[in-house]
Amino acid sequence: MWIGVSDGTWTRNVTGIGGDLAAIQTNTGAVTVQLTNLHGDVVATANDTTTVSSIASFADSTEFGVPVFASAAYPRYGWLGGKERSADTLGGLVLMGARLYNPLTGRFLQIDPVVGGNANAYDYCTGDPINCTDLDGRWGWRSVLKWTALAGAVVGAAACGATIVCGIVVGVAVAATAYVAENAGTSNWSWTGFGLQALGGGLEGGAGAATIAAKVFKVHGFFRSKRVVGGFRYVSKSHGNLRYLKLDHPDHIRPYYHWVRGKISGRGSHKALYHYNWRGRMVE
Amino acid sequence: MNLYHTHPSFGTIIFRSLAESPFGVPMVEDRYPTWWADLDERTQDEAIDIWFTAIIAELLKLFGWLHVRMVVSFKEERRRVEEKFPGHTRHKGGVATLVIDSEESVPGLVSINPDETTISTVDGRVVLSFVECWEGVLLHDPPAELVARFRNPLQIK
Repeated sequence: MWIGVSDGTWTRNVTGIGGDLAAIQTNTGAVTVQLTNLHGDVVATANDTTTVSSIASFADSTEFGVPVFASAAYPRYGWLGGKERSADTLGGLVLMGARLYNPLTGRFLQIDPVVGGNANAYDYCTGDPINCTDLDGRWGWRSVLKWTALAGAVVGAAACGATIVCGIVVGVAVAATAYVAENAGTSNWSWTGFGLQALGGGLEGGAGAATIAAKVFKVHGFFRSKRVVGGFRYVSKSHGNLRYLKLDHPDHIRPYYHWVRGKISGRGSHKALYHYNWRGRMVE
Repeated sequence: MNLYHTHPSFGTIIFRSLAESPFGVPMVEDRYPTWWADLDERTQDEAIDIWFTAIIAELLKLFGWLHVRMVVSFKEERRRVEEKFPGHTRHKGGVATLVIDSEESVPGLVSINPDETTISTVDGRVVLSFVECWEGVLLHDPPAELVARFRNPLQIK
């Protein structure tokens, strides 16, 4: 990235192998190495010459990005400088993608364009700037993981909807992932909480997700009768015909919940292909 | 109560339990009689239409009006019910109820693919039922002449 200045000078940002800012070169050819910490903050710079014997500048900041112990002038790239988030704007604001961020208040100045991305519309990383970054100002990575995991629960439960056990397994895995995503490395983390969420919430979530998926299909008109708990139709790629899968209530033939996999002929007639008990074991 | 499983591929046989059923109820594809499985799907569908139209027409003759209760899941099947029986259908919670009072309306009934169907006489006696599809039709205490007439498989030329 090249940055031009009104007096005709320019600087060039050099990106390292890891994708973070590694050095800055000026129009005179001088190169300054940018030294970052694990959070991605540029904490010191050093001139890239063979004669250098000390750092050129240093900077530190609070977890929300307020400069502390700054050298003569806080550099363009300090807090999250490794991610090329610049504090050049007036008043020490940081340009974070879509929005301006004020380190003094720990809040963005504009509302989050992604509804529900953080705790509120102006909040930064749900109050957890150490374990979270929000580089584009749209939502925290924890939220991304969390919502991805929850979306995965629904999709996973629907995709393996042939067996409730499968849906529950997906639910357990997703609940555990969601807990890790939300709490790993924070003071909220506990193995008890992890276990409870993975087992209790996971089982409930898995069953719930399967039920939701079934109801979604039902609402969309695939199966709209009280006899059918839920199900869906699909096109079989291997057989090239329309098929269906549904979970039925007990009846006078089978006194237990049972899955039915069947096909629909070209004329629309239904033919049952296989029956499974509610756990997914083939019974016929 | 005696139950009989009836299907054009094997005729009409007594049904005692699912475990004893040679074909399953409803029949599943890999348990069809071989000659039936070898037929193309269109021929199978036509045979089922012919077979059950004849059975229900016979029940109509024997018992007069028939009361039909169908559980219909697919919305296009619900539409088909309304098309075939305009003004004679009541829907509630995916259940359609209608009356068969003439032979002309029987083919319309067989063309519908419900999830469950119960046909009873005017006095409430169930004479035919099936779950899932027309591959699993059971006759309830059918008159001997009905069993005799449909004992053998359908002759398909």
